[in-house]
Amino acid sequence: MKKASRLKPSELSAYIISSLIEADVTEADIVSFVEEVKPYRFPSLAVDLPYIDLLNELLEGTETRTTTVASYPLGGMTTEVKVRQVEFARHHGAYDIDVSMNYLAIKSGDFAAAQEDVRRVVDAAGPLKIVMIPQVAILTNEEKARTCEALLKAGCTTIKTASGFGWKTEVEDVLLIKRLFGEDIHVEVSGGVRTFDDAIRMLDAGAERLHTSAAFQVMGIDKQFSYQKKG
Amino acid sequence: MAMQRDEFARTIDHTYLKIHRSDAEVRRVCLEAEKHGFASVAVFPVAVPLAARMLKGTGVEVCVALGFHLGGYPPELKAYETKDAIEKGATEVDLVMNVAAAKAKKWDLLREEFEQFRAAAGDCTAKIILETCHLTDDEKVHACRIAKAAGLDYVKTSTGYKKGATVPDVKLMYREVAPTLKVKASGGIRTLDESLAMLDAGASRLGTSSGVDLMKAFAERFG
Repeated sequence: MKKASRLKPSELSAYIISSLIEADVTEADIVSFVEEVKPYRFPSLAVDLPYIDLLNELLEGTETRTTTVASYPLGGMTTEVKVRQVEFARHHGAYDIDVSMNYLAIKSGDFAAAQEDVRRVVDAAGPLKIVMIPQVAILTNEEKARTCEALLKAGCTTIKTASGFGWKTEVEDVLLIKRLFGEDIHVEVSGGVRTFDDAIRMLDAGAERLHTSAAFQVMGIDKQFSYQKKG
Repeated sequence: MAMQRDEFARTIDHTYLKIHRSDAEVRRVCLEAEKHGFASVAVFPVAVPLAARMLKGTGVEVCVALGFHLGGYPPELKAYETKDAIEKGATEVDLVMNVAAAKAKKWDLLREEFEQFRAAAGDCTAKIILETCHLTDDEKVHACRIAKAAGLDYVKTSTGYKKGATVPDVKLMYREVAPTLKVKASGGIRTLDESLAMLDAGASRLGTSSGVDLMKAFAERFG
């Protein structure tokens, strides 16, 4: 990989997962969103579960993939419900799914339960790629290490650091996880990537993907999604 | 104010929807609810088994927050989530409705969701959350009417993760659904004055994380 600090804003698109996930996002919003982001050839676009089919249809013939979410963004759902959501995403042909971990178990020190939750999610995935969300902003450094150990043992090798929606990721979080786990864990960053400089810092720290609802802003493009203009 | 202290306590769903705490906090909240005689403790599904164990025999209901907080997935998944929570010990179910369906005027989809929710909830108290901050008044009215037709027990204003309850919204919802259904006001309710204003506007329940402070303020004002 080219050292990120030598990237031009236009080259950044190869690392960005552009997301449009909100309660009031309609099919019409997804259609305009895809039209607006298509020229940038992002590796993936992220939408909520009901829009997987529509997104797949709109992305047909492109290299861009479909990302979706489970137990998102709060991580309060049971393993059984997450498994159902993962099965739904698999049947509808998503490429990968970002799944919140069981934060109650983690904060209670029950890493065995957190691991078992991930294992059952991974077992339900089939060809669907599982990306677990440890939610680094609510964890101590020790909890970050133990959470990553748990998900690795459960067969998950890619994380998305945070869910966004106010939960952020610091460069130090990425550096810590890469220092502890090296190539064993692929790191996607979410939460707090708002500018080109943020993006470069995260990539230089070892992140492989950047999730953002503000892709244009991060790339220094003076445009907004139609959805955002609705206010 | 004719209301007695214990009556006021019975309007409160003692709400604990924070993602960064542990079992110890869930236990604390359950003990508080028992002590004050709140209507319920509201928690995420992952905390339901513990809350159910803690609240057994106390008369405090186990309320679960479903679809939180975006509510975007299909009716059959929400029905499954509802049944799963009840099997694990929930006695009241609060579900975020499909806001996008209302924005796109897909009333049939909303009807199907509410009906499936009602069927899955069985005898448990079923509350549908409109997340009113996203809706026009017309959309709120539509959602209330569909909730009433589906035989739900409550319409609820907000998840608390966005803008919370307002007095005009509670009045509008009360006008549409009373006396068949009740109204739960939630999100941003932190003071006694706000609580009393919501009850005056027609709310029967208050979803709040400030229950203990509210009881203190109630005692100071009304004895």
